[in-house]
Amino acid sequence: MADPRINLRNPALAAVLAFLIPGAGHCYQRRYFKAAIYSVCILTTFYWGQAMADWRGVFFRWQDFEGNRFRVKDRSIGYLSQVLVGASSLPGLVQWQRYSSGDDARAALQLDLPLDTTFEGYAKVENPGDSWQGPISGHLQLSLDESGGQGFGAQVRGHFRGRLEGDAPRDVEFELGGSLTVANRVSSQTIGPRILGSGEITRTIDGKNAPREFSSSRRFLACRVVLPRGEFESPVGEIEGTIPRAFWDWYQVPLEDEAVQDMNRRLGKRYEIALLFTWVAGLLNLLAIWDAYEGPAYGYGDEVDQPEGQPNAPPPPVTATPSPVVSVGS
Amino acid sequence: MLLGVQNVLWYLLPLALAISLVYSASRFELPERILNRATRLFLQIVLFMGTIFAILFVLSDGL
Repeated sequence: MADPRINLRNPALAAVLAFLIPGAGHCYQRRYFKAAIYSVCILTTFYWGQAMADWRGVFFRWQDFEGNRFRVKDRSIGYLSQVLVGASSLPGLVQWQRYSSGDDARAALQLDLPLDTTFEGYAKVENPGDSWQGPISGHLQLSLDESGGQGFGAQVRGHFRGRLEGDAPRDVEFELGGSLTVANRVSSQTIGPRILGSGEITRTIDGKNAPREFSSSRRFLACRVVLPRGEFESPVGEIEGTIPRAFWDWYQVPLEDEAVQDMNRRLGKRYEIALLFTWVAGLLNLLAIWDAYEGPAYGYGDEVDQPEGQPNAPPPPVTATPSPVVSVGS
Repeated sequence: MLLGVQNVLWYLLPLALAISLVYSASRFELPERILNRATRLFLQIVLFMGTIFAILFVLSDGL
């Protein structure tokens, strides 16, 4: 039973608001001081943890694509605490739904093309009279070739215009073509899935001993460089690199096992601390939700403490309106 | 952040501060009572963790 001096208004509504946005329920109840404490402390803790984890500490996963439950250690148990922060962590559920449906995550090719985006990576061209290789960056256009692809997988056509960096920098422009397959792992010709918490982007051209790399904001793409010859085209090289992935296609999307291992390897203890921050934020909001619904646990705060063994003195009498001041002459 | 790079234990301080404030806010309504209790709780947490750290530090000496 809350102190009668505290107006909880509609406690259920306040609790829902407190769940969605820490402090919002208390704002609704006009308890602004506590609203400020809850929102600042809880949201700062949650987003600080998120930032420390490279914005990949909050995600939900419970079963694999086939609907089989993960082993307990592979489930994101911590999300059950993170979700208590409300709207800040609810995208994790939506992303899990998108990811586990498999459509967007795996059949990225059909969903994405035509591509018209920036590209950063490496190119290797062996054209008689014009052989070169090196890092490139620029603009890439890629579309499905509806006429091709019989027995060879999806065929693509595209164009790249950009700049070759390195020892002899210069502008480059070439045609792209060949088949393109969708895969999580690096293969000779591939494009990373559209939705992924952290996909592998390890380069293979001129990077035989390169350490494995993962990224959530960028996705891997490799494609043939071709030289059009009438109706046909002949491959003269390849490009390999990354294109940007939209924020909504990686934020709070489930991390796959290898990506989790990569996070632990790169961030070490910081990743654990980051997760701890997000978990604690969720648990703290549970206190805030309860406070919005039921009021403070111990009382208003002006009760007089008594020695142990005796009940606290009751709070001062409640007065709805201040009594008029009456001066009494002596 | 620089302190955090040196030792992740420093992250305990802001975490303890947030826990103290939110926990105390959920106990009382009066701002001054909340702040007083939060300050006390924060110091208790830090003192407790510091004591544990010191004990472990001494016990691990020479390992």
